[in-house]
Amino acid sequence: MRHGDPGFTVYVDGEIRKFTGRSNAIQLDGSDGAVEIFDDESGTRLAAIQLFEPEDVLNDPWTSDVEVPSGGHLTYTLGAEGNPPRLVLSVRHEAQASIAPSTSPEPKRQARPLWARRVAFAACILLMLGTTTVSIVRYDQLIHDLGWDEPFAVRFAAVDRRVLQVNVTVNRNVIREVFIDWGDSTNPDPAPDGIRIYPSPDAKRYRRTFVISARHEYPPVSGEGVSATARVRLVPFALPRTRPETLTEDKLHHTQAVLVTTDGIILDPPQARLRVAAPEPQAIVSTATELTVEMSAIRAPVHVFGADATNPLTYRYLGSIPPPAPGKKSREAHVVDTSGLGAKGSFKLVLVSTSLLAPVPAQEFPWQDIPRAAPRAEIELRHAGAILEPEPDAAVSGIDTVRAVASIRGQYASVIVHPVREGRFWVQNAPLPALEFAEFRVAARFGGRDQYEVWVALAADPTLLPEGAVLEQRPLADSAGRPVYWLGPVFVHLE
Amino acid sequence: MSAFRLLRPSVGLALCAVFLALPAQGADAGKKNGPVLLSPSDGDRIPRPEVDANCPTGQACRKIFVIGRVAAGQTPFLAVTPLGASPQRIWIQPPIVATKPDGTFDGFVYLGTDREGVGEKFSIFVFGCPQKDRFKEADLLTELPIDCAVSPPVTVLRLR
Repeated sequence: MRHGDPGFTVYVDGEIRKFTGRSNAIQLDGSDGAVEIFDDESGTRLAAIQLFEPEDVLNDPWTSDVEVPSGGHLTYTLGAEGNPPRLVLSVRHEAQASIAPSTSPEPKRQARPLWARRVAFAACILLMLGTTTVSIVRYDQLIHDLGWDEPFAVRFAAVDRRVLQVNVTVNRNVIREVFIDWGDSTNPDPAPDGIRIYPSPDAKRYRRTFVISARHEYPPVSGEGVSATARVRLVPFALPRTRPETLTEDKLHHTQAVLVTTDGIILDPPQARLRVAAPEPQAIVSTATELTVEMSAIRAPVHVFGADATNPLTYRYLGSIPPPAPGKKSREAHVVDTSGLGAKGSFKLVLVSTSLLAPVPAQEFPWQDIPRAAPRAEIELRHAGAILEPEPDAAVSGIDTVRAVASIRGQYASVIVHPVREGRFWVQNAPLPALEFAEFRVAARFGGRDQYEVWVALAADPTLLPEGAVLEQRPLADSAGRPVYWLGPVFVHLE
Repeated sequence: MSAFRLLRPSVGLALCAVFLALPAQGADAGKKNGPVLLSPSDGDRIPRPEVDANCPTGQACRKIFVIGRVAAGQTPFLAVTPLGASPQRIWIQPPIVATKPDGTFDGFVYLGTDREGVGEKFSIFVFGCPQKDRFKEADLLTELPIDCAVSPPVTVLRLR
């Protein structure tokens, strides 16, 4: 306690009321409500005083007293003075020494007997052992007295289109410092752990608490907006070895996820989710690969890239999917052309939702140029094989070579020519046993002037597609229900 | 007999001391031999003055050199996770060309792209793996590998 400092504070309706003159007396108005006295050192409430009518205490002042935890004794008296009478509260604080009775002369100091020294020694040991427990109890008591679960409170609010505000209320006896990191990528905080906002002259005091308010304006954004995480770090005063539950590291590090959009700041934005629901990973798919894509809280276009297992560091752009309407989920099927991928094994489709890229068809990107924090989904797939020749839009002669490779075992390969105008499917060869990743060639016969589709069918049943057969439509399974894998089509025309 | 009685407490104390010392030595040894990222340091801001001189002034600094160390017999891999990504993603970085006899190595890592990652924090790890082909560049992990020793993360802030 400082010299001249009364050691306690009187609050009237939540505001500090100073004493007048030298008598530690406070005049109260009839409109005053709650009167409380707090110990400055420990922060505990010493008394809550019920006000009387002035006439009731004019001739018979009401007096009470209380022990002060930090030491001493407090006597407070509610009386009335003047005409008309007005309530007066007077408070007297006496240090313990001054109120200790001293009626007898100080006895002579004598040597303590041996048993007394042993008891004193044992008491010292017990005192040391109990220190930790006592300090925890004191912290718990301190926090409990606040009437809160925590000795601090952190609240974020979006107060303008791009302005985020944080209000931090701290118990000044528990929290020593407060730091804020706004997580603004365009304007990182100058200190690695954020800006210190408490102690600060701007903090407003209210009883044992300080209220700190800080704001930050994020820069203009476009597209899907910018995600950020604002962090408040609270540093308590020295803690007992075993921390009170309310002051764990998790609770002292408060985070707030925000999404700054063109329309405003969204607190706790829903987590963006991007998922390929079908096909299953490692599925065998056709070159016109159908993907069922689930999107939730996706705000930017979803770009689909393909990466071959033989060259996983290069991503080839295959197409884009528009995001669902804001706040909507979607589950839609999309087809992407994966021809050219997986000729010698599996390939990976990578879906990334970002507006930081504006790719063009077939553009290739090194893996490190693909945004890494953007919503993303991946799936590894396989093709049953690939048609290597003819190339798309090639001009073919009446009889020309079809060259292909199968990526799966145990299949029989048939080349099929489909004249677009004529409309049927012409099987060109007796089914060939296809070896895994081994090329095979078939001479295919093209008819009159037409546009043609070249297909290769891989079937487990060697009798399903006999040479010379003409089909109205492509079979997707054999009689045993096993799938028929179709490679193609490759569009060609007669030269 | 009396000499044994005199020695017995000393022997007990010595055994206790040895017993207590053993785990401490083991812990020290593990700490010393585990993979570790020596540079950059935790809390560094990228680009680091004098160190990241390869980052042109005023342009994005997404590729930085790092120095690490692994124990003998371990193959080092570098991995980076952007703290802003959710769920967590750990990217295997370009391979380490060679490891020096003392286990130290140089390499480089990517912290985002030219347009993504400025102002964001990235954690960098060193994995010390028994197999040389455990990871490939651009591999994407969702959790730290359990079959490799993993260094403590070093978190840096990319300023530009």
